[in-house]
Amino acid sequence: MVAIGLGLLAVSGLYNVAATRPHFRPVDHLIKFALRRSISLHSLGVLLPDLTDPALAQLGREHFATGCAPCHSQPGHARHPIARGMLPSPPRLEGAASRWETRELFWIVRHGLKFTGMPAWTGRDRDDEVWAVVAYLQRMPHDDDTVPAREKRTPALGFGIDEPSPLARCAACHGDGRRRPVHASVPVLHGQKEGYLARALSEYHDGRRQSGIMEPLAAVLSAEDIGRIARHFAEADRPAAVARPGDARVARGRRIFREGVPRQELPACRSCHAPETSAQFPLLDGLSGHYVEAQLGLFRSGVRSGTTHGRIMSVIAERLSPEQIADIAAFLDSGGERAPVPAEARREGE
Amino acid sequence: MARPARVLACTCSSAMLPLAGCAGIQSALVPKGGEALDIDPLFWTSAGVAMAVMAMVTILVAVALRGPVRWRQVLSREWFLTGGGIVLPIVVLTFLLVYGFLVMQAGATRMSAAGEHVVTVTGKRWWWRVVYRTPEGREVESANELRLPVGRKVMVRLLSDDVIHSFWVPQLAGKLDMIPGRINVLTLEAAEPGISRGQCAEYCGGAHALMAFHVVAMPAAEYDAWLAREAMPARVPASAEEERGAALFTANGCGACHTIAGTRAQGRLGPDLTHVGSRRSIGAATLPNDAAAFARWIAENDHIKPENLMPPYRNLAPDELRALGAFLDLLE
Ligand code: HEC
Ligand code: HEC
Ligand code: HEC
Ligand code: HEC
Ligand SMILES: [Cu+2]
Repeated sequence: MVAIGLGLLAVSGLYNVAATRPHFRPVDHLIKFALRRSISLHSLGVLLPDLTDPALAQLGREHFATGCAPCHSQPGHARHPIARGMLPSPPRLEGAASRWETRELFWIVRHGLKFTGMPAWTGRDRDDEVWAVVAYLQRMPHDDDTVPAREKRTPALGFGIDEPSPLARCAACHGDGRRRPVHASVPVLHGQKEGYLARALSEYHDGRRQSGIMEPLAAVLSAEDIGRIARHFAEADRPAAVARPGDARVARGRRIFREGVPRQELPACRSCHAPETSAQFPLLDGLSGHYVEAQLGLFRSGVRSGTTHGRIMSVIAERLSPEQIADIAAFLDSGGERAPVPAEARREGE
Repeated sequence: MARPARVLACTCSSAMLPLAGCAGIQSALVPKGGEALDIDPLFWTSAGVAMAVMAMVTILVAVALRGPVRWRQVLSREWFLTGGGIVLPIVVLTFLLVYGFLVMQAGATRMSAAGEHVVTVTGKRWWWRVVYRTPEGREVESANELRLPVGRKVMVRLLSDDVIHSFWVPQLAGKLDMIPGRINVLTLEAAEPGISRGQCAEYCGGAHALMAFHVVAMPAAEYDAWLAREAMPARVPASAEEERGAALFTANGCGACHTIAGTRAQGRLGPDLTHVGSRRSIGAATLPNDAAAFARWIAENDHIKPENLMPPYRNLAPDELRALGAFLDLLE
């Protein structure tokens, strides 16, 4: 009976789907209830990492500003009138952490919500990136009610870059050459090879390299922007290494980097990752251990092996043991070879 | 074709199939030297004896079943049974055993005679490292090809760095395993100049089926001249194209795994390329050796030889691959 009734309702076209007409109250309750149950059930298997690092939340905040704020707004800002016209309309997220469990927040941001306009995370296999945003949602300050509404700006509705120069936006996460990147999962760009930077940006732009953070930013860049930005960073000097006392890990990592491990068919990293090799082979000195471990993981799991260059590196990454990855990460984190690289050498040989 | 005719044709052609394998540069039935020449008569003698015994037994069975009564009576005599069933086998088998021992003994004396010409072949996944020792005691490294001086006994030391492989050049000798942590020694002696082919004969994982090599037997004087050339550093690029290839070789980190003597490339994970252009094949006898094959190998080796340990370089543009091919081809 119920099924026939619902069928007739659908066929008749009487149910109004206009965003201007809210659902009937019972329907609304039913939908919200089903949504909560679904999120609660599906997020059961999610394992929580450590989210206490304030730098992680800071990275989340930077992504939120361009990836989420157009719909949800952000503290100190008003909601965009166009986003307000959605049904359901994207709520402010200041209180989200008290409404949802941490695992549920992760699940919502990772998978999105059907029929609501809440999108899934852009990097399909990049669950690791989602946690930065979750860490931020947990610490999101409450909106400052003392500022009168008419003095508040609304975030631009466009995703990506709203500053006059894209470079200012980049600095917010990647640092400005003196300041280190906002979090260890963000690589240093200053002093990297030009050819590599340009290719990395076009791979994000075309969706060939996955990252929920970088893909939307690169998508709005033109080919000229990419060329200009790559040149800008390649010409800059690499930030000074943070001197760390060399321990046994670092020494082992240096050995692998310089000599490889012949027994394991592992070539010396330096024979490809050096200033004099192809402009497409990145420099690794000064990359954080966290970033190196994460990227080697992506090469090994196949997430970053779809491209021609990624394929070369995957073949090598597959031969590394977790121990060796930790050793190399420690070595690079401590500054790597740190040989000063003249700017010309970085630009040659494309 | 009528059905019976077709069945006949099929049966015949499939019966011929194994015979096709009997000729060619990788056939134990066309011996070209040393142990294989010794083993050859042993094989034919044993095969001949086996055929004769087979024929005899078949005839006797036929007689026992269908023959005239008189013949059948003879067959059931006591002396016939003892003679044919005990004495004859003992005589025949003893003969074969002694003959076999004599042939094997010959191998042992040859081994003691081969002292000064030593080649070390190391089985790798999935290629062969070949190191010659010159009379002056210098080591000269090559790969995936073994050169032999005709008429000289050469001691081949067989090693492995990883898993068990087996070294088999059917035209020259029997197979011998290469076992990690052990040195097995085989003596080879080519009787005539020519080319034959060897194959890894022990399953060693992924690309095992494509782990082969050529053996080139050459007159002794030519061999000495060749070895002296092989000991020299690589030729330097002459044309602009070759220069470009050499630069690309460095830029793409090929030197991480390959050695080119006389350059900064000193990697040891892949075959020595100092004189790669003078070899008959690349990829352990998988592709011919020319500029086009080099280019194909560099970009597509994972399709040509699945699971081999070199990364595929599909990042290189066709003109870059051509330059690399020209450079490698130059390294004669
Ligand atoms: C295109 C607009 C849009 C964008 C961009 C967007 N969201 Fe949403 N989001 C929505 C809508 C619409 C809902 C409302 C779902 C509902 O009420 O059922 C929602 C719901 C949510 C919720 C659940 C809120 C609650 O308390 O019910 C969270 C958490 C959330 N979004 C986080 C994010 C984060 C983090 C980002 C950026 C990575 C983001 N959203 C980007 C539209 C968007
Ligand atoms: C919200 C923070 C954020 C902003 C803003 C940002 N990036 Fe990134 N960027 C990242 C993260 C995180 C990664 C690592 C992504 C990955 O894992 O692939 C990254 C990676 C990159 C890489 C790849 C570097 C390498 O070594 O492989 C390039 C190039 C890059 N970003 C350029 C830019 C440029 C240009 C801008 C400004 C237009 C920019 N980024 C803005 C966070 C950011
Ligand atoms: C044969 C050349 C080669 C060797 C040897 C090599 N790599 Fe790489 N590596 C590459 C290439 C090419 C890339 C760029 C991949 C891409 O763009 O997707 C790369 C990228 C990387 C990256 C990512 C850098 C970034 O900014 O995102 C890391 C980390 C890395 N390699 C670590 C290593 C380590 C550690 C070793 C030694 C064990 C090593 N590589 C040896 C060719 C090599
Ligand atoms: C990670 C190590 C590694 C790197 C880097 C590497 N190779 Fe190799 N290469 C190998 C291995 C291992 C083989 C043997 C493959 C086989 O036959 O199983 C090989 C085989 C070859 C051969 C065939 C040699 C023969 O005699 O059969 C050529 C030619 C070659 N590589 C050229 C190159 C060039 C050119 C580059 C750089 C663009 C390069 N290699 C980079 C490991 C490497
Ligand atoms: Cu094998």
